[in-house]
Amino acid sequence: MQILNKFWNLANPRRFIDLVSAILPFLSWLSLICLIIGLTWGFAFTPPDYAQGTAVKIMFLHVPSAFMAINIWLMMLIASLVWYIRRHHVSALAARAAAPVGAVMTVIAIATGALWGHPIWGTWWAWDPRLTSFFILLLCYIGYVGLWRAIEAPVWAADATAALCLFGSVFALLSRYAVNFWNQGLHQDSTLSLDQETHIHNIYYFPLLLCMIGFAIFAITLILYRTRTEILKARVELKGLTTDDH
Amino acid sequence: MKELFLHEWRLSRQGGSRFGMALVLYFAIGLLVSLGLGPDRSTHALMAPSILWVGALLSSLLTLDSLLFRDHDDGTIERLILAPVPMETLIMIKVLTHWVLVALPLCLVTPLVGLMMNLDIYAGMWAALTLCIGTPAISAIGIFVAALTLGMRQAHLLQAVLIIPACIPTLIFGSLAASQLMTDSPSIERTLAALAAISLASIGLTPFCTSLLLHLNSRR
Repeated sequence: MQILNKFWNLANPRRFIDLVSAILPFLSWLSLICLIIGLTWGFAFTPPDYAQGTAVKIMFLHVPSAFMAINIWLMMLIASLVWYIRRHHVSALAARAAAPVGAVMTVIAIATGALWGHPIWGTWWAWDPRLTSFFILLLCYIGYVGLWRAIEAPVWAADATAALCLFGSVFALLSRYAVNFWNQGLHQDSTLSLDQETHIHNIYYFPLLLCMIGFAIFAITLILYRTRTEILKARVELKGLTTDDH
Repeated sequence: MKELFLHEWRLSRQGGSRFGMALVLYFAIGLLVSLGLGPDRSTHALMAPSILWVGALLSSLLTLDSLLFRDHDDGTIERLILAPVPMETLIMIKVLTHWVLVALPLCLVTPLVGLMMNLDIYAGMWAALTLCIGTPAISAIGIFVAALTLGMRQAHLLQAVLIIPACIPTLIFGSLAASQLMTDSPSIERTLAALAAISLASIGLTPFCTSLLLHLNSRR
């Protein structure tokens, strides 16, 4: 309960900014270190795969970005729910700040996936369930950002985008299983898990894990930076300050 | 309720061109695609179900504006919120009217458009049946998207981006059902059931989402 109360305290923009400003430098360095070590380890110090050759190494970009693309949408979903239920402005602004980061992650995942698919599957793109759901996720992100930009009234914009976020989640999931109906899919199942037998080899697992942690912290850092900026911007607009009268 | 239905009916008669536009666009898509595909008639029938579905989807998107925009502009929505009937019911009626005025005519002319694409009349009727089952979902999703983009001047691009992902499941199951009906595939029942489920779920859920949005929108 104590922790939960502490969490809700962050709904106060002042406290949120204080905390974020305190931890941001730390997070930035941490993500930088994780990414440098993880990516160097992955690209330079892992052996080529026996079937896929060097092409497998794009995994160190593809898997973490895909992982973050989904998780950022999930974070936006939770933030939207919090906005609907408790009307905390920080939560709405965090969802707004997260969307472009998520969209970029989705683009990275799709682009690296295409680059990986071309030598291995022989095609840049296929209407496979996972690929389709990522395409729809990208459309949802674009629509979400577009809606935020198109609506002037801030509270109504938060309401509308939160509704879109909930609505989009349902249809992204539904489309994924709909595509499953006529296409069994080219994409392999996830081989990354904590408890299953069929598991990626440890040689790849550890650098990949480091890359994923690096990507996650990197995304969190970006989102916190952007949220802080959004709060400050909202405050400036509220006070009607312009750049000349500080 | 009957009055609202009639009100919508009259409104659409006044601005009737839009609803006619949907039909014209549907015919145009059928015509242009069958001309564009070239003289090989066998490929036409093969592709017809998907093209009929895509055509119907695009044509009904054209009429999204008319769902709520006029009511928003002249302030009818505020009156509807104050009405003694629950907002959800009113939205349901709007969805129903939109379906009757836009989607039903499209379904009815589907056998004709099918004929242009070398689809025999019975196959065209089967395609029309799948359209009848699936299009309520499109009307229902459409009103939600219209509520999201309420009050915007240049909303068309955004509407298209928002509605396309939402229509993908309906499109997939709809065109799959249409082509399975023509080939007597054994899994047709499953596909039709999934299509009907999407339709029913959309009709059931979107009135609540939409009325919530309209309430929030009127409060600003």
